[in-house]
Amino acid sequence: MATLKGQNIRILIMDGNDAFRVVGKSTNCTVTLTGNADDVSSKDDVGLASKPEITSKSWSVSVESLDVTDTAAVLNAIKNLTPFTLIWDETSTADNQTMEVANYNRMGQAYMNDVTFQWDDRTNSTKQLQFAGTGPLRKYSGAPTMDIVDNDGAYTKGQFVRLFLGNDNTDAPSKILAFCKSLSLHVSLSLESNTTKDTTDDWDVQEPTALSYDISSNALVKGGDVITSTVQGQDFASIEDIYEASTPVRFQIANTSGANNRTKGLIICSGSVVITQLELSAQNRTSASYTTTLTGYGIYQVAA
Amino acid sequence: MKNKTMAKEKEQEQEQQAQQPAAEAATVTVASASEITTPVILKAKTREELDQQFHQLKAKHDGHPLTAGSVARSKDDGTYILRVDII
Repeated sequence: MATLKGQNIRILIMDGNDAFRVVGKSTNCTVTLTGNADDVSSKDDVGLASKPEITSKSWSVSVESLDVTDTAAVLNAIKNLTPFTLIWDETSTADNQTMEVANYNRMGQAYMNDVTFQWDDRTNSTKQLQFAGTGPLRKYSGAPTMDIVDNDGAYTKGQFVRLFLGNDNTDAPSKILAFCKSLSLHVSLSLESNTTKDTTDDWDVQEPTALSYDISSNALVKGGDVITSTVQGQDFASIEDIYEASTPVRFQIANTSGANNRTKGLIICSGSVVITQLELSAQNRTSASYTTTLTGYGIYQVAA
Repeated sequence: MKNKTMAKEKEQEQEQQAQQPAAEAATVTVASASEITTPVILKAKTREELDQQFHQLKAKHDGHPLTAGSVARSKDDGTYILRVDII
């Protein structure tokens, strides 16, 4: 029995030059093939389990990665609303950077439909990408080239990316969510089944319908602190004010610098959000904390 | 008369169905994905140097929006790394 090692299988994405590139320096990738079964339409019975009828097939891909240097590029890519060509293939050579066009390869078109970035204090940042296939996933032949961005072994620590919030919906956010320990950004693209009866064999064809995104952050409540730097701190009272007012505010997710990581560096993305959830947690002998969820509206900007 | 109209409608419908797959095949686009595939990787020893390189790149591509991702640090030598995509 032949077995395959996980590191020898990679997901590649086609770029504009017809070359293939590894998706996000993945540490983990999964391809799921699903046979969609018809509902059982009669009470005819041949025992306890009825025979499923496969009426259509669909596929999806998920990728996990420690590389978040392409955050802006991924955020741009998901809002393009166009499918990508993906390849699942075996690799060879010492660094697993050469494609083999092996027995287990597959190629198909897919929408990037879910993206999550996580920036946590003192931790390597992570991203998770999900792709939903549209049309068939087939074997291919030939020898596409492969090109890898050379930033091996580079990681972004979560404390170097922070969320800046404005008091209003103007484009000048100057406050930072004080004592924020964790920050995540989630973008989701809704897909619906094709609206015609055209099929590509029996594979599901999907179309994008809506883009939504939300930001979660977790912070300690520490009353009375004032941060005096190029950005100001926001204590609990401030975030509560925004929540009470129910008005949208501008956000920016940006790189930081300075001794306390409080100086806003290059902006990764920005947009308008509404605080949709504010949760307080006060446990005995533990620092009180709050968790906010901000839901974005309109399209976010990624241009620097 | 009604039957004739229905037959004609049915014929038209079949014709439309026959044409649809061809039309759709032609409109399927593959993302150029230029945003995620032609990056410039800036490397510098200090944050200041990295900022300087970014501003030089921005001046060079005046008029083109740039996207900048998270600043990363090399595990080996602490080099600051920034990926910039030119749209």
